[in-house]
Amino acid sequence: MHSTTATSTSTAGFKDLHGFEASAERVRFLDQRMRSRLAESLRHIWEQGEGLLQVPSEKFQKFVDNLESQPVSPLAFSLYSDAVLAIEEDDINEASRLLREMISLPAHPGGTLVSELGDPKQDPTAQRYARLLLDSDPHDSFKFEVFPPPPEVAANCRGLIKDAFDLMDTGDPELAAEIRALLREIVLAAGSLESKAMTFDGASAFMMWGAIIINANQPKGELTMVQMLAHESSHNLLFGFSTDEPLVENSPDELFPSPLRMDPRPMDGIYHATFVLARMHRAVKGLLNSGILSATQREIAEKDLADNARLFADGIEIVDRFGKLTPLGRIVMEGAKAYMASV
Amino acid sequence: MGDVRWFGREPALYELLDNYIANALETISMKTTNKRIKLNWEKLLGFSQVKVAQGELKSKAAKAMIGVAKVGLAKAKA
Repeated sequence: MHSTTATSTSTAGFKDLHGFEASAERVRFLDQRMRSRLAESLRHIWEQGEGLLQVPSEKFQKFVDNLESQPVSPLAFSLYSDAVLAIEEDDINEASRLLREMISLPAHPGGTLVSELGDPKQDPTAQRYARLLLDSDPHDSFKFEVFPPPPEVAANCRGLIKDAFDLMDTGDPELAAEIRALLREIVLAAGSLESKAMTFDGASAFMMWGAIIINANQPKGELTMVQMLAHESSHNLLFGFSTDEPLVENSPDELFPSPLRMDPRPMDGIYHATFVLARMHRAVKGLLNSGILSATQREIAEKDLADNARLFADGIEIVDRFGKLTPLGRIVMEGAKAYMASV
Repeated sequence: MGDVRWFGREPALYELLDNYIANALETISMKTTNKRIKLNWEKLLGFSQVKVAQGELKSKAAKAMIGVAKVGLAKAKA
């Protein structure tokens, strides 16, 4: 599973699948592969559970068939993984309920939807998104609070997202296209505003493929938003790479200093943080080189480039010293290292 | 030894006891390890990388392999 064979198998069908530069076409391939893998998994569940699962057969088969040809809500991945966990716990009723909810999801219209988080205390869908922050990571020493964003905050954030895409469409269209292809849904949320409270900028997870949740209170300008989108979408890019094999083989119990967080993290988290820093750098550099930034934006960009380069150096030192990278992990990080060495 | 001879003389009874023990063991096994729906993790997106025993799925190692959230830039406000 961690062999070079697995890597070569997973790259079949796309040249330079793991390249560092943005590519919307590559992401469409990854999205298709992810949906096909989900369809195969669901077919396996159906074969094994037919007669026990209380799920309408025709509707289930139609959903699975559509998966291979249409975009799907990130919630489908989340509901599927919870259904597997329920089956493993022999809770067939819960697994059936989750699968029924999955096949009842409305069709995704394509493109990137921007939505606002509902109240996680009342809305099960909001609760599912909020789990990205609230209870999914056993290594998190910090606990976050997450709320629906106030309307004026959400409206401002929507404006920043639009401005960020406008900037990228003009200055780095391939990056804009890649991010649009990666993200099916941007969920706006809000963190605690209490002083000294821990807060978050954004979150994403393998089992919520295509979704990111961002703190609508955090971005202060369109250039910050560009980096936030590049950051969270790059986590998704790494999830797309690692459908069949992990990036690192370190035990999740081994913790290391993180370039982006105050708390020590497993190597997988350090790897992700380091890679996304290189992608954030590339996003800013692309806009800077395009010549479209104002004097004020150029000043911000230069500072952010220096910060990203410094933090990347911190991260890659830890990865190089302690990381047990898989063949896939090495290939992907080599691209980031080569880029950072070139600037 | 007497029991052995006794079973040897009564093959039908031996078989009955053997079947009873086998069934009892199977019942225990079903309760502890077998699922009503058996899934092959190699065929499941996101789970194929989990190498630990299935019973340890809830362990943090397994959850980490499935793909926990990546939370960006946690920080305390001034």
